[in-house]
Amino acid sequence: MSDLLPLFAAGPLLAGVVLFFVRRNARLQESLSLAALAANLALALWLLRETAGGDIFVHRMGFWPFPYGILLVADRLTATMLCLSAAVVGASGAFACQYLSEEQRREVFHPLLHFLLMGMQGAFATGDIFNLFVFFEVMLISTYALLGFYYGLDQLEMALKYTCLNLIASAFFLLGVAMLYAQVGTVNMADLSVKVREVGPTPLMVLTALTFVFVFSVKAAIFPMQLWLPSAHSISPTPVSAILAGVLVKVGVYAILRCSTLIFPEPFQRIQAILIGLAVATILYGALGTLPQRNLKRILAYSTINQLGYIVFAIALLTPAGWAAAVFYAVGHAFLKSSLLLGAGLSQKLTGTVDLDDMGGLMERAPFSTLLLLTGLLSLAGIPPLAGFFSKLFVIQAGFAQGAYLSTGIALAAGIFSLYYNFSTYQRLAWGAPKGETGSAPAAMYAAVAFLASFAVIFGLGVPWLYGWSQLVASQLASPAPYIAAMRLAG
Amino acid sequence: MTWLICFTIGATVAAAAYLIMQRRLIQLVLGLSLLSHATNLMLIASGWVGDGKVPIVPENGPVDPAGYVDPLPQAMILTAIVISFAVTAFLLVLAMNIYQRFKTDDIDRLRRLMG
Repeated sequence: MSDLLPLFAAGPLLAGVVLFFVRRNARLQESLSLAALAANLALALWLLRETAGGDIFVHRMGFWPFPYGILLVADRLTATMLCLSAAVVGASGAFACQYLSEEQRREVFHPLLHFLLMGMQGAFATGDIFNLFVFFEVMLISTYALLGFYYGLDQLEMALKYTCLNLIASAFFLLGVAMLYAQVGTVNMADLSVKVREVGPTPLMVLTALTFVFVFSVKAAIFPMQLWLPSAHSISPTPVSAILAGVLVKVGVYAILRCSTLIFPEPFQRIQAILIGLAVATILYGALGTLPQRNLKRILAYSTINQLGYIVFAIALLTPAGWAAAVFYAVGHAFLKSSLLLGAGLSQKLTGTVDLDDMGGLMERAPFSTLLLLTGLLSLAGIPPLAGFFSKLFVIQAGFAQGAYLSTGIALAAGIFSLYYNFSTYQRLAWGAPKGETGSAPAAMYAAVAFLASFAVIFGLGVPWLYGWSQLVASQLASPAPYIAAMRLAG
Repeated sequence: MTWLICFTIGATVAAAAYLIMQRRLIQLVLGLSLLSHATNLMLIASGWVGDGKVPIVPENGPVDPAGYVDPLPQAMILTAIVISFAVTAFLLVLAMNIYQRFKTDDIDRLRRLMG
């Protein structure tokens, strides 16, 4: 199994290159792309099964001894995130085949999609913080191109804003690596974990940890670095926004999770209050931001910010229960939000708009797609027995168990508020007299949305199993010793 | 020697910040590219030991590594430079696209044109 780990980065790279060369033949390109995505998902699922017992797989790139070489590592968290990215990118890719028009596809959509997948999966699998930077850049440069995909008026400005912000964040990432290297002289995560503990939480080390928090909070859209998200998510082509909201922000979450458990456990104790404060601000900003919006995709984007606040809040509790809640939330949200965004794209295909006021009467015009949207919105609002309810429940339980009464209380209040905005969204979109013409959409688009939306129900009904898995992930995160030992052994 | 590196990093970051806050796109791109150079310098400084020797092991076997510069940050910078090169190229293309469409690279005027 260990030797197959590079496939998660090399497979999509190879697929991307091949797809670029067959770009003249759209049908061939699409089928190859979907086949590669399916193979990737199968590999990820197999890895998930292999890691379930608690084994940690390590692959050494090149022949450098520990701690100089780059190691790819897969524990339960990595396997979970790999499955998640493969499933969401796969469904979005299938959706895009039908959604994008011939001209919009411009022959490079599928290659870029695979490069994006390579960056994300590489970031999940790497055990070296400088390598993480490299995979972040691979991922980002693909999104720069995918976001500016149509090169329309709005896209150009938004692509520029997004690119500049991320470039500044990348500079800070490198700065953080330099600060870390100057103090402990290593970039291997296992080695870092040991040496950072030896140095202890000195002011400089806490500052280094804060630098990394800043960098990852740009990716994870944590207050006050969340401003790019609404326009980027609402203006980009729908399959791309589904990937952005579903998986890309989770890469930031994943990195914060690794920092808090493996690399900087002690410095994170010192900055816990800051993290919780920022998370609560993110929750409130996202919830209030939905109010004045009329565009369905913008509402979903603000709700993503809201949800990310909950996830980071759970991580910032710095307890295994909090981490388990964060993993559960992140997985549920990835499927939920991508299904909602693809659902919005489906409705757009049917009605020609994403403006809520023009969509009125969707229930009568397109009952099935409205039903799919309804499932997502209900789950987002936190109605039992859907996944969204349990996500919030576990976060709030973990918060109260930790004794963070004030911040958890605010999070709970914002949760009730989200009930309001989700219902009002549904009411504006589905009720009322039907307006305008209704087009038709191919069955494959419905299938992609239904595939993702079904997880809202499955996760809701399968809570004991999924939460049990999240607890297993969290228990592995809470004791990094086997992780470090596995990396030492392989190097 | 250390103070010289510190001064250079500081001056480069200051120049980058000044350029990024200007109104023209090309200055923005140049500023961001300068910022990445400054962080590269910072990374080099992290592996610096005073007036260290070039990290090449002589033919007659290994030597005491104390007097040598750490080669790992230099390898990392090489990667970082390539990445920043690619991103700068992309940004320039983006800026040129915007310029060709709107016939201006003044950010305030662009914002008005884009609405």
